[in-house]
Amino acid sequence: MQEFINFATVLVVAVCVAGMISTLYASGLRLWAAGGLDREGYARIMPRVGSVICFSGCVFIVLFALWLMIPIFH
Amino acid sequence: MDIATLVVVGLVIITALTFDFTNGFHDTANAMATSIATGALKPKTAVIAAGTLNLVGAFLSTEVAKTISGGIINEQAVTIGPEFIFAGLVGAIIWNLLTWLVGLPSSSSHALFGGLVGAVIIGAGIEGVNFGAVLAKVLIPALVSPIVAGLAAFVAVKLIYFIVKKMSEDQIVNGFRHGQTVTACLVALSHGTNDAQKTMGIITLTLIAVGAQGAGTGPQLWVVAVCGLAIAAGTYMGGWRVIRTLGKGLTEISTPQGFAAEAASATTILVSSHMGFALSTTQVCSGSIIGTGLGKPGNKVNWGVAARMLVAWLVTFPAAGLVGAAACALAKTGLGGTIAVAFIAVVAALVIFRLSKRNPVNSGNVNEASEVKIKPSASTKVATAA
Repeated sequence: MQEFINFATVLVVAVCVAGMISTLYASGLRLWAAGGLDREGYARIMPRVGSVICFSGCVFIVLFALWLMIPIFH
Repeated sequence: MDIATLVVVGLVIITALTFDFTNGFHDTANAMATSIATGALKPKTAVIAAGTLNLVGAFLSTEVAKTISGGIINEQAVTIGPEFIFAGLVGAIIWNLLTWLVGLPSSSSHALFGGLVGAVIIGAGIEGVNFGAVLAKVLIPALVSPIVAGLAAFVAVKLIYFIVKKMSEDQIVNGFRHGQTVTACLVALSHGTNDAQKTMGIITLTLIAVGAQGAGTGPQLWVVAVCGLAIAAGTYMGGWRVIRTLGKGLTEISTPQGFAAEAASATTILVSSHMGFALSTTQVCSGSIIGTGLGKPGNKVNWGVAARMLVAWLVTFPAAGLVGAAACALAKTGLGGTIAVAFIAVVAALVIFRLSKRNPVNSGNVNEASEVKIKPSASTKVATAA
């Protein structure tokens, strides 16, 4: 039973985290693309800020993965 | 230490490093197949990156296996002598080479456990094997890992294509190329932190068993270095045949799919390791690629190749076990038998390499076809002749 619970936990966490990082990265790309120059030659600031926030989320997840991977950190 | 023990220990160390090397080149595909298939990384760049990260990973992690078999062999009831380990390693190496020849990804850990179990059954009897652990650590994970990773990758791809549907094709391809490179590198690093440790554990426990090292001590620096170098060299050699199957044989992969597959693989491997049970990297990565194939609208999965892979995963344990058993039967006759096993293993490896030369797959042609054949097709012969 414990084995089944462990596998179910891995399934739920893996689906959620893979979905989260994919959503963040895809949203970052989409917002960056939407943040091109407007008619007056200025970059659209809000999509760009949103994009940077999304990519920062991805960087945080990658750093957390490295922290998990390297035993010396924990 | 008498001369016979010294020879056997020497053979175990050489065989363990050979296994580490085959583990590396068999598993290059796990991290890099999708990046190579989508063109996110050039083939040579991909294997250099994977090899380097495997080497770094070997030095980063100090978590060396405390038991040789991970509980599959009852190590309290049975003393695993160097000749058992040697026979088990021979079984794993031969199975790794055979599956590489036909381009099928298979778990090196399961091959190693299978080889050891075969050797122990012949050498010490069936009571030396914990069949409950075989079920929990080999059979169930082989069926569950691809489902977990595949579902994660399926959901990831669905989300990605929903979000980027208004972007141009160029923006999508270029954007996900960078992300795919990072996620592939994470998989390569996690491979280095896990797989090189198995061989370090085997060599260290062998040295402890013959009294060359104190009980309870960790691996010596030279052991860490040679194991890291062996797995890195194997990874750099690139198991191009397996890379072709994973990158081209299962489904047609685009960069968003590659990103999703590697992200799902890295997540599944890390979460399962953190929960205290390691899933096979090979099975996880294969499942992710199938998941991305199912997740992208209009994409098809080659179920024939997927079915062959599943059969190979289920056969890995008993097949390596048979070779390990045969090797142990010969090795336990004495030093002459052990040397004979080593000789036969070298000949078998040479024959397999020779067969692979009939229809070679390398960095130059890895993306040119989706199948790995032993006999060259007519078009290949014409191209070779030209």
